[in-house]
Amino acid sequence: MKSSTLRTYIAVHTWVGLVAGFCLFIAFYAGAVTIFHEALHAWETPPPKTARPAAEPQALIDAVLATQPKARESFYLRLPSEYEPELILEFDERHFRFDAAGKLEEFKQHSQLSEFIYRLHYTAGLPRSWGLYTLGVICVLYGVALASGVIVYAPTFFKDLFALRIGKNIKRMWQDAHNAIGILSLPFHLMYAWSSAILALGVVLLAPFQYLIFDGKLLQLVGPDIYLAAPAKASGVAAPLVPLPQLMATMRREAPGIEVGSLFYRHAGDANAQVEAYGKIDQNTVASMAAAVLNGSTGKLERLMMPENFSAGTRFLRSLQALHFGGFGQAAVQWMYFILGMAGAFLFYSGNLLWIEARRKRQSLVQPRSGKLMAQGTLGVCLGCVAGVSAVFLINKLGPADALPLWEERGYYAVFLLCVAWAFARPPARAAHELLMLCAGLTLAIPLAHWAGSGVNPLLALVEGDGVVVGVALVALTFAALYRKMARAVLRRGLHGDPHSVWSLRAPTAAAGEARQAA
Amino acid sequence: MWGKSTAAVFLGMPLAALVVGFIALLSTDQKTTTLPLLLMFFLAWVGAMTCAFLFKTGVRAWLWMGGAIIVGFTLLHFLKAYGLLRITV
Repeated sequence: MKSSTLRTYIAVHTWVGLVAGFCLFIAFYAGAVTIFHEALHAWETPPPKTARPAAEPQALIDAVLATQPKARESFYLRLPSEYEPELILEFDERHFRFDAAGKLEEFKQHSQLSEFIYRLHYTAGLPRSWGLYTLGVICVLYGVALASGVIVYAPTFFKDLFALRIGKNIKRMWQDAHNAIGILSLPFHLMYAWSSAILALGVVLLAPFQYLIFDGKLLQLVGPDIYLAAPAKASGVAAPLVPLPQLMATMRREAPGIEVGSLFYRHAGDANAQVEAYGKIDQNTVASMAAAVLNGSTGKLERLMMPENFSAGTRFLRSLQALHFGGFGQAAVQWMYFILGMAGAFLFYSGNLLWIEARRKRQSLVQPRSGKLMAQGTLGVCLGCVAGVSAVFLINKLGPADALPLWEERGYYAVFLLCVAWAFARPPARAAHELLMLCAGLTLAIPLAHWAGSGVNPLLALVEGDGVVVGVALVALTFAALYRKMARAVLRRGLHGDPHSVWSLRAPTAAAGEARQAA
Repeated sequence: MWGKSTAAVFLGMPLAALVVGFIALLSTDQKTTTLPLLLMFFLAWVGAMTCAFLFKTGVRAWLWMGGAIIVGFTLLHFLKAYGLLRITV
């Protein structure tokens, strides 16, 4: 390859990486946590004081429809699952269930910890209306950064693959770490750039094809591959709903082994009532999604989608989604995703630090302003996100029980914005040390807050085999130790390292000033 | 560099859509092959943007890519008008 081409792609990789890196850090950090969102939902919800009697789903539907006529238009029914033992009916963002006495009650969600971190994952904390699309564009840039990174790295692929030169040359070490993680987890990153762009921008990107290539007929071609069913129209003729057990029996007969997780009802009480059922079925495929459409008043099964009968396009799309959400392979895959996701976050963090190292003036005590600003921005955004996520966990256990969702959201933004402000107010090395210590402290406090808030001793949880509580505690302890180690390392570099760096805390001495004048 | 970058940003998407669209319309079984090809669009898009930086100058990138887009869409229009390429719904 010509060296000028190589230089072009180094520049492309650098600038695209810098633009996308901040959002990608947040997406990867929050995403790695979100891998466990079902288990975290159990962590954030206090166990019920009294055991609720197992509720009959059809009874809940009838009770809500009798008192809430508006629910007839459409509602969701969520069946109990491993980490959410309650049966819940939802419409218009209102939630209903049976209380301990078996009476219908409307309730507010106790906490939104896992939901908030999930939203952070796909919006990076930007407003909901456009955050998702912004991250979609970021994913395309991420794709360009990957492609150019591979082009730059390809000529020395085998020579550098297992090289990690720890030593005096800090830039070399960071570069090796960045390359090793980037190349070894390249398939993971390719999959994420691809599947995320499709999840975030897929619908928008149908438009150019619909209008420029397919003359408006695209949805007729691919609609059945993407959507389960077109929404039914109400007929205006009243008809009773077929009881849910009968619908379930129909589905189980046609798809033995189907596990329905949620149902979506449209026009309940109308002759055209439509019921969509979503769940899983194990057919030894990556995508285990199963879905069915039934007529709610006749009970007739109208469509059944499962891996066995997926079309090529559906299989492709659903498999990319399953790869994205880690919905296969159980715990082993989830932990692998968690580690690779955290390593990905580190990749973006190290990329920014490399940019600063590359611009370091090795002979001058006065460093370029751009390097200092980049250091402060990287510290503020990345460590602000880390501290904010830990703060949300703390607020979940220590905040006011009746307004947790609001406190969790505001708590995150408060911590995040304060960290960004702090990073710009202090010299980089000081800010790094202090913010990393803050991250370590907040993260270390998570198991303690859980203990104080729920009264469950973590050791007792271990004895009782509560994997979720023990898992959160162990991950928190590990990460707190890592942040503390990083904090000490950055302080050491500041006090004793090379003074020709934005990370140095050594004041320019008179002798050094004279030396520079002499030179 | 700015010329090549703007060519990548503005011309990468229509060029990739053109290539993927052509292949999609050439298929004899469009009901089966269209969605898989659309899913490949992301790779084509990233590829087109990456290739924009292979040109010697920004002007060349704009002329070649822009020219390919104009010729391609014109050709597509006439092929569809004369029924040589059909959308089989």
